[in-house]
Amino acid sequence: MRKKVLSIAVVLPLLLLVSLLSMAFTRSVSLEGQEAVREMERYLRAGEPEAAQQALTALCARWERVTPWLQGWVCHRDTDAVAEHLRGAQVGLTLGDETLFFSHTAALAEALEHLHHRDDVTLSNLL
Amino acid sequence: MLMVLLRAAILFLTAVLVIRMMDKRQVSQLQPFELVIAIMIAELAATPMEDVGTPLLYGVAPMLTLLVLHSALSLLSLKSQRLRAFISGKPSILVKQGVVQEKELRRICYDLNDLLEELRAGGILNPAEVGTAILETSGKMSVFPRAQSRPVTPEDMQLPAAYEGIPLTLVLDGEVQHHNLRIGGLDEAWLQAKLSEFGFSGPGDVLLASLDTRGVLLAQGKGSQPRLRVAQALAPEKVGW
Repeated sequence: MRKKVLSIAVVLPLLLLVSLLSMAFTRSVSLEGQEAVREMERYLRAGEPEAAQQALTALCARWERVTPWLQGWVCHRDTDAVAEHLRGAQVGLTLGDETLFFSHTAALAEALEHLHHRDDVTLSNLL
Repeated sequence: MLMVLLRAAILFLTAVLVIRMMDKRQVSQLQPFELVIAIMIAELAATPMEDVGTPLLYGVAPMLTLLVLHSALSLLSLKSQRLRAFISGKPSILVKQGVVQEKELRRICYDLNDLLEELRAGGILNPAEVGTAILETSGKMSVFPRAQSRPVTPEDMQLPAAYEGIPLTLVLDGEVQHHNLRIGGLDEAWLQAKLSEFGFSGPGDVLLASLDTRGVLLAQGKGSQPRLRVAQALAPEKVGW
């Protein structure tokens, strides 16, 4: 009986805590990333490619820092998708190819949004 | 490849820990929801084990969740008979006073051939000898012979029967079981003396030594030609457990 009470009293709060913390972290990374993508796009549309490059570099650096943690609870496939579109956007910016850049930033925004949407407590996720 | 091995080890240990935290039951004694949990745990461990891209947490967290659910259901089942009946079902009496309960058999869709098979597995060849047969919630069949067909007991013969308790294992594969020595109110010096009487140099030479509630000590030596000694080692009135 003690083992059962212990498993409920200890394991359940631990599971809930880890779930909530990981959700909060993912959401924070995702929302900040999406904001950074919008910022890059604004800069490029305003004819400021250097500012866009700076924003992209900062986003890549932040992404490298958080990836090892994120991969503790997010599939590599999903984190790899973000990394792939970051590189694609970098290539677009370097080549001055706006079409390539914007197609990758759109996909990047979607990949970042997907990171936290999959964790949202919604009926569609439940089903 | 090494990562696959490490992940397999981690998931295996987690699965063992989770199963260990549940009740000690054999597979044949599992309640339906426990069987479901056991199957799910195996499935949950398999996917992250083989796919390094899947986080380990995808296996560990659901396993722990199942442990919590199992514990909660078990505790609630203890408190509520109704809930226990809902989750685990109720035992079904299939033979009562030697009469096969046809209505109950049909209700649970239990075939007569299966019933006869279970009776035989329960040690009863002749259906005329069955007194009661109960299909437990685990799926196991409990079979009891008619009073006239069961083995004679000392009580039937009005014979006194000595107490038969659990024998104490004193030596297991050369290792002295100190805890059991304490239960028996004995010490290692006593054990050494008795083993010496049996011709063993010490507990290290002994594969198994067991003391029963009649005070009879059994000792089997190690080796390809083990010696087996059985003798009275303790007076019955000194047996205190």
